[in-house]
Amino acid sequence: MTRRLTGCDVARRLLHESLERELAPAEREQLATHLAGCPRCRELRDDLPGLLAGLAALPTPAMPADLREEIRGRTVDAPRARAGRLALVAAAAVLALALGLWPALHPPAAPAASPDAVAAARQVRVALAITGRGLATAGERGLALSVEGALAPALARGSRAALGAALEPPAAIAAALLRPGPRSSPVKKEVSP
Amino acid sequence: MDDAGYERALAAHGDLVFGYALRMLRDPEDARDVAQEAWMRLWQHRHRVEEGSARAFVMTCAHRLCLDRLRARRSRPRAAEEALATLPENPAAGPDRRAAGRETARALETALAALSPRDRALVLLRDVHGLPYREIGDALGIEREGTLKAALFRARERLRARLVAAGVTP
Repeated sequence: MTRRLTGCDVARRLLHESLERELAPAEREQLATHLAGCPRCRELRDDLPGLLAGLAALPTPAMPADLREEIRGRTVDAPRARAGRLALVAAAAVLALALGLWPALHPPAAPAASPDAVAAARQVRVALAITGRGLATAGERGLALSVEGALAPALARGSRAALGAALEPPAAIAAALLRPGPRSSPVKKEVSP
Repeated sequence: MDDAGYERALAAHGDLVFGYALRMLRDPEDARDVAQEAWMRLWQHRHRVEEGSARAFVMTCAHRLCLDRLRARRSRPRAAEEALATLPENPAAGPDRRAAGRETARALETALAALSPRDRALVLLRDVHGLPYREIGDALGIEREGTLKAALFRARERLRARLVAAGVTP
């Protein structure tokens, strides 16, 4: 059952409200009329500003420095987070090295590639596309995992052509895939990005 | 929110979360546990929390964790004087004002400690820490602002009544 609001209830609400916003003229008049005849509400009116000022002046206890460090150690400074940062640097270094060495290791214009190499290259390129999205959106741990996952198929197959294809732009991939493989057969020259 | 955003949130709101837990629980060890757990939860969910909502998220966690501790009575409230000794003075106040305000501050802390957890949370979140009503409503699970304000006003008046009963003029 809802309690019926009394004049004091309304006046007290208006007193609190008046500390946060300007009352409408009608509300001010209603409050003034009530206060004129109610000593208890006048006492509240006199006390509220000091009470709120006292509360606002209470200091906020500082988080202990060792607690802050403990939290950091379990979050942003956790070993896994640090490992993630290292993985990011390592992945960038591997990528740069591979791109730099590729022209020397692989002269262009090989005529054909094996179907396995083509399939592996496609897999790795898709995986690295996912990794690229991971770079943009995922955390460092996700990056490390996605790089590992992207390179695993190529490494398992031992396919240098496939790995190279994943690291090269589409034109270079097409050139690389033209080289004959151990079970060479004619393949289409176009490669899906 | 990325890791850098989490670091910024921890730097900006670390004191708030710990201070709130300390005043709610009156026990520094429990306050440490609650603060740490609240920040761990934000870390675990950081990818789903916008940086602008980090304070609301971590304060909601902290409040619920405080209530859990209070309900389970694992947290044994410390004697008022002992707990007060752990709370700092306002560094912004000068020596004179500090001395003059010390008694009032102690009276306020004692009166706050005697409030119900809900009343204490309302007064702390709004009048001590100055959080907006929306964030307070989220933390306390009160959707309507009118309901929240009515509860806050009553909590303030109960606090004032305790001060008056103790012979302290607010």
